[in-house]
Amino acid sequence: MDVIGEALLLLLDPYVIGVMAATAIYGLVVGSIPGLTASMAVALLVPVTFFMDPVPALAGIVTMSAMAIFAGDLPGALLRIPGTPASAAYADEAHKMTLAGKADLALGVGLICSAIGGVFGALVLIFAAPALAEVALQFSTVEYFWLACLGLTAAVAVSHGHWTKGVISLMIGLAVSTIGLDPVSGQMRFTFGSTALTGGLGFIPVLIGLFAISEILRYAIGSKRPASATRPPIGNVFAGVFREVGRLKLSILRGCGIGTVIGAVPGAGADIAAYVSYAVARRFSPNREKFGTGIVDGLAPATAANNSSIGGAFVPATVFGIPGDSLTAIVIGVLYMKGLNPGPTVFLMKPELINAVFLAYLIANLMLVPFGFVAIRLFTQILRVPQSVLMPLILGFCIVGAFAVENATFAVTAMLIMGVVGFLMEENGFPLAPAILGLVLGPMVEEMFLTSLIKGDGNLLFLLSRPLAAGLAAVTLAIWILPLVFMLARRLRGSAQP
Amino acid sequence: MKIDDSLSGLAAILFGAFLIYWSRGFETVAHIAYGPGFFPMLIGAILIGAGTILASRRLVGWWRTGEAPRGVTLGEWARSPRAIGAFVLFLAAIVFYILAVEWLGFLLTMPIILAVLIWWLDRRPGRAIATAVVATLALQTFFQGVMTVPLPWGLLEPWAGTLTWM
Repeated sequence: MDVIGEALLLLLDPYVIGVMAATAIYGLVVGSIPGLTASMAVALLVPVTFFMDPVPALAGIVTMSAMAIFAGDLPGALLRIPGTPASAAYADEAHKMTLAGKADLALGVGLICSAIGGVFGALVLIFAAPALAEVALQFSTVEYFWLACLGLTAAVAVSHGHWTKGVISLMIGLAVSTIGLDPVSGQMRFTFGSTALTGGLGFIPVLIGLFAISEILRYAIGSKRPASATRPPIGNVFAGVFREVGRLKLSILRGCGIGTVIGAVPGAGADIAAYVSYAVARRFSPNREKFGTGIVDGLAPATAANNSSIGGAFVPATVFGIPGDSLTAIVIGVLYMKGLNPGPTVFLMKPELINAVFLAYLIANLMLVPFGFVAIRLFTQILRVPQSVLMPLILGFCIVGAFAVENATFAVTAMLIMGVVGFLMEENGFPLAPAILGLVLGPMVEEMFLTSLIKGDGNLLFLLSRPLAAGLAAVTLAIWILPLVFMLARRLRGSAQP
Repeated sequence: MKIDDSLSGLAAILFGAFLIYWSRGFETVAHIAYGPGFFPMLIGAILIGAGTILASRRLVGWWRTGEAPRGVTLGEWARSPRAIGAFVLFLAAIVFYILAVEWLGFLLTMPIILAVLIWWLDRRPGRAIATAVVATLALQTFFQGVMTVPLPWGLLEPWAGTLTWM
C-alpha cells in the first residue's frame, strides 16, 4: 500500500495532471477523427514525450490511449465510420440506434461502459501484474526466449488475412530490428558502411512511418474520405443509461473479462476483443434475434471489452516486455527509452514508478466520463476541421517528430521508407501489428537465444532444459503445428466422404 | 496499389535470399556454432518459405480458376489526376524536406511544403499560405523553444539569434 501511496504522490504533481489533461483532449480529438487510429496517435505523441520525465510521459500515453479508444465510438455511432478499428465491431449497431433517434442512449452507454471496461482492466493490471512479476522473477533466458517466441507466434496466429502474410510482416519487423550493432557480439550488420545505421533504424521514425505516413498516403489516394458531419439530436446523454447498464451488468462484466484476457494475448488487440465480445454477447443474449437492428445489448459489452483490453495488454507488456498489440508495443518502446526496462525487476527496482503508470491508467478511465461527455457535445466541431488541411499538418508533425528524437535528417529518410513499406503492406492485406511486434521483440529473441546457447555450450537442447521453458516451447510449437494437423484431418475427412 | 500475391511472394523470396547472402560472412561467437549471422539467416529462410507458399497459392488459384496474376494494379484513384498529384506530392514533400532542410533551414522548408500540399488539397491559396506559416511557427516554437530540438537554421543562420527571441 505504501507503494501505491508513493505512486499517487508522483501523479499529484500539477505538471503530470496538466500533461494527462492535454493528452486526454488530444486522444479524444484524434480518436474521433475517422482514419486516424489510436496507434497513429501514440506514434505522433512519442516524440513529444521523449523530452519529458518518465511519469508524465507514460501517464500521458496511457491517458491518451484510453481516450482514443472511446472516441472511436463517436463517429461510429453518428456517421457509421468507426474512428479507430477498435470500434468497428459495433459501429453499425450504434449507428442504427442513431437512425432510430437513440443517439444519446448509444453514446451514453458507450461512454459509461468504456469507463467500466477501462477501470476493470486497470484494476486487473494493478493486482495481477505485481503477482505475475513474482513468478517471472524465476525466469531465466530460456524462458524469456520461448515467451518471446510465443508472443511472436500469437501475433501471427491472430492477425487478419492469410497466415503467410502475417509471417512475412513479422519477418520484415524482425529483419529491420537486426540493422546496426548486434546485441551479443557487437558486430555491425546491414549498415553498408553508413554510420547513421550503426544504432539501427530508430524506433520512433519507423513507428511514425508505419502508422502515420502510411495513413497519410492512404488518405492521399482517396480510399478514406470522411462523410459530412451531421448533427443528430443529442439530448441528455445519461438518461436511461444506468437502467440499461444495470440490466446488462452480467453481459458487460463478461465483456470486461473477455477484453482483458484477449488484450493480454500478444498480437490480439482492442479490435479483436470487441469482435469476440460482441459475438459472445449475441450467443448468450435473450434478445439474440434483435442484434444488428440497433440495440444496446451487443454494444455495451463490446465497448467495455475494447477498453478493458488495454489494461490486459499492459500486463504482459510490463511484466515480461511482451507487447499485447501494436499500441502496447509502442508503450514498451517508451518504457525502454525512459530507463524503465519492462520485466519483473522493474516491480522491485522502481515499484512506485510502474505503479504510478498503472494508477494513471485507472485515473484516465475515471476521467473518461467528464472528458468523454464534453467530447460528445463538441464532436461535430471536431469534424469541422477539414482533412485537406489536417493531413499536411500531420505530415509536418511527423517530419519534425522523427527528426526530433534522432537529431538527424536520416531519421526522416527512415520514416519515409517505412511509410511506403507500411502503405504497400496495408494495401495488400499484410497486417502491420506483427511487424511492429517483431521490431520490438527481435533484439530480445536473439539476445536470449544466443545467451542461452553460450550458457549451454552451444547445445540446442539447453533451450528445453528447464520445465517451464519446455512447457512454453510445447505451447509455442502447438500453435505452429495444430492448425496444420486440423487442416490435414479436415482434408482426410473430406476425401473419405463420398 | 495492389500487388499480385505472386509478385509479393517473389519479393519476399528475393528479400530472404538477400538476407542470407549478406549474413554468410558474419563471424560466430566464440565456442558455439551460432553468431550474429544466424538470426538474419533464419529470418531469410522463413521469408523464402512464406514467400514460396504465398506465390504458389496464387499460382494454384490461377490454374484452378483461370484468373491470371495481375501484376501491379493501381485502382480507381489512378484515374483521378488530383489523387495521383496528392500521392506524389506527399512523397515529394518528404524528399524535398530531406534534400533542402540543411540548406534552406526549417523555417523556409516547412512552409513551402505545407503551403503546396494544403493548396493542392484545399484549392484556397490564401488559407494554404496562412496555415503553412502559422503551423511552421507553432512547430518551431514547440520543438525548438519548448523541447530544445536543434532544428536546422540553413540560410537563416546569421539571424538565428534574433529569430530565437522573436
